[in-house]
Amino acid sequence: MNPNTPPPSDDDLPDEQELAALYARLPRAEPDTALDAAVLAAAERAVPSRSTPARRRSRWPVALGSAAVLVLAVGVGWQLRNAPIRDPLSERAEKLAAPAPVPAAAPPAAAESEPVSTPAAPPKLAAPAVGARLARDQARTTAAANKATPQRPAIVAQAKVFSAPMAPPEALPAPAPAAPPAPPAPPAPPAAIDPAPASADALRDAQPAPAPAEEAMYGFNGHTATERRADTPVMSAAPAPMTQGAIAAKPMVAGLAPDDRVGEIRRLLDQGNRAEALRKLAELRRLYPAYDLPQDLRDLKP
Amino acid sequence: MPRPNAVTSSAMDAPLADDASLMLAWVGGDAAAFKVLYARHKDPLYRFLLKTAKDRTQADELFQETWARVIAARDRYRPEAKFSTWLLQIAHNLAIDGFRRQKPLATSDEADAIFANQAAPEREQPEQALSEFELRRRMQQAIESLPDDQRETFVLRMEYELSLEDIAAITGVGRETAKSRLRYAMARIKQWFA
Repeated sequence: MNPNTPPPSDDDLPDEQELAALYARLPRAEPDTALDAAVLAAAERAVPSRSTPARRRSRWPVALGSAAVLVLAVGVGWQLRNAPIRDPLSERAEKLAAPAPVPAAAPPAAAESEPVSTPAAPPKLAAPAVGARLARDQARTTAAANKATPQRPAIVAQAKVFSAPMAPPEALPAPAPAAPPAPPAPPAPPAAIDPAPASADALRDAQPAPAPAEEAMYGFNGHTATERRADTPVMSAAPAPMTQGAIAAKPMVAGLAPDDRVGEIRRLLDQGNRAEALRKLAELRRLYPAYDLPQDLRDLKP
Repeated sequence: MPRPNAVTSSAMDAPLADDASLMLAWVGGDAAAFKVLYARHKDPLYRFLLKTAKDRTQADELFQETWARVIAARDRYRPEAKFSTWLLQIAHNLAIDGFRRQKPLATSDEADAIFANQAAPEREQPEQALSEFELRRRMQQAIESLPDDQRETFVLRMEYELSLEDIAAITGVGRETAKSRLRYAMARIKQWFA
C-alpha cells in the first residue's frame, strides 16, 4: 500500500462515483404546481401570517380599555369633588334644633306634623324675621291702644300675653314702674279681640298672618287668648310691653289724669281734709313722678 | 447536485438563513419562511419519493402527506436536528407504510431472482453504446428492481449525498446496516450496466 495514498474512507464505496454520474442523468422530476399550491395552502391554514398590523391590533383593545377606565375614573372623581359633603348626623341635629318653620299659608294639619324636607337654613332665618315683625306690630298696637277706648286695653293685654307672663286686664291699671324691656309680643289672634272698629284696625295691623297658624306657632298649650288672659297671674312687677318713655308720656292706666288729681287734691284742702289731700298728693307723685306739680302743691308739706 | 440544506433560494431579501432558522421563523408566524423552506427541499424530496414509490400517483400522495406531517409536527421540531433528516424521516415512514399496503416487501433474494430473470437486451449487446435514453431507462429500471430498503438507501445516498450515519438515522437502522444495504444496492445496479 502506498503510504502517500490516503486510506479509503469507510464511507466510500467502490464505483459509487460512476453510479452517481449515471443517476444524475435521470430526469429531474418536480412536483406540479397544483401539488405546490396544495402544500402551501395547508401551511397557511396551519400557521396564519402574523404581520405587524395584527400585533398592533391586538394591543388596541387593551390600550382603549385602559384609556376608557382612566377617563371614567377622572370623571367620577371630578363629580365627587364638586358634590357637597353631606353629613347625615349633622343634618338631623340641625333639623331637631331648628324651630318649626313659619308657613305663610299652611293648613292646620301641616302645623301638627313635623316639617318634611325642611332645610336647616329657612327656620333660622324665619325666627329673626318674625321677631322684627313682632316688634313692628307691637309698636303699632301701642299707638292704636293710646287712641282707643277702655276696651282697647283688652287688645293690649292680648298682645302682652304672647310675649311673657302678663298681668290680667284687672291688674293693668296699676302699671309696673321701671319695667325692664319685654320681648316682642306676637300679634293677638282675632278670635279673642273685642269687635271694635279701632281695635279691629289695630288687630289687622298687628296680625298679617292667620290666627290659628300663629296660635300653633307660638304654642301656648292650645289655650285661647281669652283663657290665657284669665289664667295669667297678677304680677305687679311684670314687664310691660311698652318702653319707659311711653309710660312717662301717657300711662295707659285707668283712673284720673294728673291734672284731675291736682284738682281733687285742692278740693280736699279746701274741705280741710289735709291728710287725704297729702295722701292723694303722694299718690300723684308716685304715679307721675315726672309730672310738673303746681307751686302750691309743691310747697305743701305733711 | 446541490445539497438540500445549502442556501440557494432567493426568496428572502435578508441574508440567507439555514433550515433551522427558517423553520423557527415559520412556526413563529412568518409564512414567507415556509415558502423558502419548501422551495429548497421540495424537488429532492419529490424525486426520492418518486423513485421509492415507483409510480407518480403514489409519489404525489406521499409527497403531499409528507408535508402535511411536517406542518402538523412543526411544534415538535428541534433545531438541533437537521431539517432535511427530519423531513426524510417522515417521508421514509410514509413510504414504508405505502409499500406494506401495496405489496409485500420484496426481499433481497427475491429481487436477485427477478433481476436474474429479467430480459436485458442491452446486456446482450454490450458492444453497442447505449443511448442516453437507454442509459436513463436502464438506471430507472435498476433502481426500481432494488429491494425497498436498498432502494431507499441508494436514493438517499444519490439524491442527498447523505452520510451513512444520516441514512441510518433516517431509516432507523444502524450505520453498518445502512452501509451494507448501500453496498448491495450498488452492486445490483452495476450489474444492469455490466
